Amino acid sequence: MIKQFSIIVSILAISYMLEIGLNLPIPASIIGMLLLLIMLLTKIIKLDQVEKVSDVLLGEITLFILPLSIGIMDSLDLFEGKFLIVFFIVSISTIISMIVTALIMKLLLNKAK
Amino acid sequence: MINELVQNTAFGVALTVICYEIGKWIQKKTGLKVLSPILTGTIMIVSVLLITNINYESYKQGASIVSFFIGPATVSFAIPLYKNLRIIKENLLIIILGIFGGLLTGLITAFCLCMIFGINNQVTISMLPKSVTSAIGYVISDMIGGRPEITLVLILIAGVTGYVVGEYLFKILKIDNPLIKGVTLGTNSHVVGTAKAMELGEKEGAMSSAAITIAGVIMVFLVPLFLRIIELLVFKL
Repeated sequence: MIKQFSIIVSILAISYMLEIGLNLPIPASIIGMLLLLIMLLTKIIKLDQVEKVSDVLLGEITLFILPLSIGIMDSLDLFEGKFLIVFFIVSISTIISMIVTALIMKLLLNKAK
Repeated sequence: MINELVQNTAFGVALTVICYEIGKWIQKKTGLKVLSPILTGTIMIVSVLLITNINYESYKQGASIVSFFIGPATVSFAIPLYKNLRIIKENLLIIILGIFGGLLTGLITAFCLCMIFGINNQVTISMLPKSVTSAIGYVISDMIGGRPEITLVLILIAGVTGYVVGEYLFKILKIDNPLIKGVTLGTNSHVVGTAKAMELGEKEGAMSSAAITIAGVIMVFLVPLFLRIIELLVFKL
């Protein structure tokens, strides 16, 4: 497991170097994801060399995010009391987007047939 | 006095992990997806800090160790994509267009509704990455000058919305293709939507996981671009 983790974390370290060294506008973690995908595709890394640790990391991702949301305490004022309206906007926007994604794909798949 | 006692990294780590586990237990016992550990955990941690009068800085020491793992976890998002590469390749254009259409619609509708209802710029900007998974969403929010902690809350709401309406929506739209169901849920309501996709079937779940990654990568480029266009066309946020 630690061996697997060392691969992932090394890729991340290299990605930070690339982000800063090349002044890339992409966050290091995303660069790392793309690097890992390329290495998997080119068979430099095999799936079973990283699969186990990835399952754990992705499975517990909520835990890693949790400390960041504590800052919400200091940001509640920014909502200006409009919590319900903001939540309503997010829900409506999500539903409309889902309909668009589904219909675009349905249309294109029907055409393909 | 109490702040001296908790001046160590273990305190923050312990508090986070314990509250997370209790939160997971609550979600499982009640069976309510909306009671995500991110919601219940946040409430518990904030309550503990407020009641014991422990300052946020002491907690942060340990908290930063826990949140460090977001980086490695984000790198791991390559795996669900790699595993489903074959199905994705077969339908590449359809999947990309579906994801792109959903993301763009999400940005436009969120922005327009915020303008109509007079939501301030800080919250509006923080809302833009709402459809992507939290690990990527908070990075995007930070990148564009939003408030990552607000983005995280709104991401949860987008996720729960997708989870709740998903099945009904597919019935109304008469959609029974697992590819469409998976991509729709993963694109617009990330991990929480994927939980619903997994309930619907294995293929739905796999496609939803893959869509999270693709949508996340597209949004890293799309959100800053969208903001740029808004600035050019309308005004500076």
